[in-house]
Amino acid sequence: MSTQYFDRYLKQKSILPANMRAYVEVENKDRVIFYALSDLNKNFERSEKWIVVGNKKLYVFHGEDRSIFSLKNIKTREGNGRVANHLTILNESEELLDVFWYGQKQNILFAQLKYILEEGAGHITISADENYQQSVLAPLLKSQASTELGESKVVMRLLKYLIPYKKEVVLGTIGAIGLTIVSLFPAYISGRLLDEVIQPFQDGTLSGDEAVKIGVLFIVTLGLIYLLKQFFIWLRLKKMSVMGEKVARDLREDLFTHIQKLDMDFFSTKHTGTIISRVSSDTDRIWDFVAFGVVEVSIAILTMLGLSAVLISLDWQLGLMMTVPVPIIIWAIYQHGEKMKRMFIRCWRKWSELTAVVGDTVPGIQVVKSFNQERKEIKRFNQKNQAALDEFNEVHEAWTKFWPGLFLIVHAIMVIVWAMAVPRLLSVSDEAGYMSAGTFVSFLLYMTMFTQPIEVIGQMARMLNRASSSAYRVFEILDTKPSLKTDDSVVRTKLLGQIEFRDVIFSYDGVRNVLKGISFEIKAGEMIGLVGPSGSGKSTITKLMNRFYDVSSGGIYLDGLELKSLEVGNLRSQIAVVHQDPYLFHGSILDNITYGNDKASLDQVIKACRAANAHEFILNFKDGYDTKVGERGQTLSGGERQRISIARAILNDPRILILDEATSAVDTETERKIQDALDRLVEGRTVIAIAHRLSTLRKANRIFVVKDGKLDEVGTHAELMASGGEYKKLQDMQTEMFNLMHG
Amino acid sequence: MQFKLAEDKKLFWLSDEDWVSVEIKACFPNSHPNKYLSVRNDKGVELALIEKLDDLSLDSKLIVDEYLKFKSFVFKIVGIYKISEDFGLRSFEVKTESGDRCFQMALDDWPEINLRGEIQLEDLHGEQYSIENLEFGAKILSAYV
Repeated sequence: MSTQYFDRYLKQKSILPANMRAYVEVENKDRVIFYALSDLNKNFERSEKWIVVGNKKLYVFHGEDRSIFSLKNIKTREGNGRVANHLTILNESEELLDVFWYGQKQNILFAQLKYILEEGAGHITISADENYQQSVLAPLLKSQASTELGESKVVMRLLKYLIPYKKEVVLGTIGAIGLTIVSLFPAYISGRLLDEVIQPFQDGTLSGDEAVKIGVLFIVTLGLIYLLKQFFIWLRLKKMSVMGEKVARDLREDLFTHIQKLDMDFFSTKHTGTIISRVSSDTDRIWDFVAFGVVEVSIAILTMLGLSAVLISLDWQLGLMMTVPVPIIIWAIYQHGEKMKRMFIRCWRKWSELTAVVGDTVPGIQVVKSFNQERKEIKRFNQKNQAALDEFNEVHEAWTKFWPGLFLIVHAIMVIVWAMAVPRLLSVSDEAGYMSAGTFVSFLLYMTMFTQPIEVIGQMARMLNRASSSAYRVFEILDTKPSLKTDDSVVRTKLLGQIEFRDVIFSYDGVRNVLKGISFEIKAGEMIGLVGPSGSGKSTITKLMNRFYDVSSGGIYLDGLELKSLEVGNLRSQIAVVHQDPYLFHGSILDNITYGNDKASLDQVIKACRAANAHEFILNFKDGYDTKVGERGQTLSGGERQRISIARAILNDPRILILDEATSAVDTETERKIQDALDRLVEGRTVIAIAHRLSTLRKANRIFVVKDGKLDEVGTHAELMASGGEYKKLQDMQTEMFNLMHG
Repeated sequence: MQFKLAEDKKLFWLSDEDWVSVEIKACFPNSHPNKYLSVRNDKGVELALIEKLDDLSLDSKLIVDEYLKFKSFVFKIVGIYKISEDFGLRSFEVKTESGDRCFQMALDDWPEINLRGEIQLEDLHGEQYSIENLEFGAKILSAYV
């Protein structure tokens, strides 16, 4: 599969060329541990220079040129541009040995190569081929949902959603077919009425009584046909619309269920607005298509074929005049559809930009108001709104030009039919080419019906385009596979809480490494303080532990088991995170506290809230634990939300507790209460506490200082103060700040 | 300010008679690429801020110019052969001043137009492309801009 991606998208070799591998392994009796491709030359044109790391040597292949360097004492330096980067290798005397130019596709590989050249290749656990392919393909696989192609496949896939509703489909189709058939009769009967009753009566060949008798029979038949027609309309509308709603519900259900399974990566790359519009308006458009589109378009095609046959059988000359242009008309409709598809891409883009403004502004409304930026936001929204209107107007302009034009042609054909028919109507009955008035009336009525399926096919082309592009976006999400891979889902009911990071390298975007080779061990029950400047990688460490992301290289182990081997749900149920600004859902306080453990008894809830110092303030509310907290818990203060989240964590009884700046956003009194609650929560658990205020970490067994993605210092508070490193510097700065603030 | 550029485009700055390895980062790389250039050491500490390139001596300006060609290099697209869509991806096959290339963007990522009127595209790997004038393929691109 990887080879396919390399050939199709990257136009880059999917593996180290065999002759180079042979050179390393056969001629030099070495082993290919790692390799990377330098894909640019110094002029930033496409190039191919392979760099292979063996046991003790570094091999460089460029065309026919081969160089070998000893891995001992190789120094590196790098330079990063917006697109082009280089890794330079130098000898001990800082003399330049070689320069490897590369684009962003090779970024992870060169970060790994640099690390290997500096630290050795001991941490590499996967094969060089696997590593090369995974590293280069990572961003592509994250975005690529499926390799399936084509609109027809999208529609076919959509139609599979009809399978559970066979009964409705069958009844709805019977309704539609019945409607088509009975619609053909009135024209026929009208012609017969004219030729067999009215004309003979006017000619005097039929008596008045006979004419009335037969006429009444015709009229009653017509009345019954119209009654039957309405029944079929009712049957089709009722069954199809109900079924369409059910299909839309199934799609929404699948979509939302799948969204819950997706990784954090997905949510960081997609706007909330676009996800919401896929669940709401896209599924709605699909409903429209499924409920009416599928059957209507089939019936329209059938009607057109049926009418063509009837028209030709009534009068082959006029019939051919009407039907021969049909393929050209359908081709024109198809071409128009293709043009509309491109226009709809633009429309959808503008529409998602518009919804993104709403999705961005509403959650941040407090910031908007406090900076008095309502006018700016209204202006921003209006611009997007206008841009969307402009695009939709383009669409309307295109179809309002096309359809009247098309119908002008259809009506011109009708005029020609009239011109051909009138001389034949005026001829006498025994002349060649004579046409009876009844036959022409039937023909005229069928001709009127002929425009309807064309119109339906036209509308359907538009509906199909909209529905298929909506289905495309829905399936894009449904096909997005969670990138977290589980090797072998081990379920551990009770973890001890021993944690190990082994040479962990991690990048969110596959471009910039946030963690650059971190290794540490934490004993079960130990409390670790994690400190360091903002952006140094502290929160990333905790996110990796929760397996919100997988490491780019290296490994994380819990109780000696690699994280990837643990079942994700089981793992997360044993880790609790208390954030600086905890998220509460719309609902009652009780709902929020029992969010992770809805089987907890009320007694357990109260005990947890007492331990979290939350019980007292909860009872101050009129509705106590049943108080609604509003969206995101906005009706509570930061400290109150914090204590509810601590109660939630206590109730979950985690083995590992992560405190992410848990007390930094509250006043001193609240901090004391939270700290008090936390002290009770941490007992008997492995705790990792991230804190800017170093004073809150005095109880930590050890403190890890993280700087620039690396572990800079490790030790107790006293040891780190004595060593005079980064920790002491941070401590001194905070003391100085405190003294400044407090005179 | 005195600079020198190594063969691998590594930039050095003369500071107290010592050549210090530095990099220059444009504060506004898209909107004002030649203004407010931050000179930073290997630890990311700003050593100086160059407001305009013209503030430098001619020698230094030439060196910094050469260095910035590398730092600010993006692939300039001169023609578009094909744009196709798979599930989740929009794939481009293009002609650039540096040869033919193909790249992919997510369906939700769209080309943007910067203050200088250039169309900018960033692919899934973070490689950047710009379009100023197209020799061919403008119609193909029109649906996406």
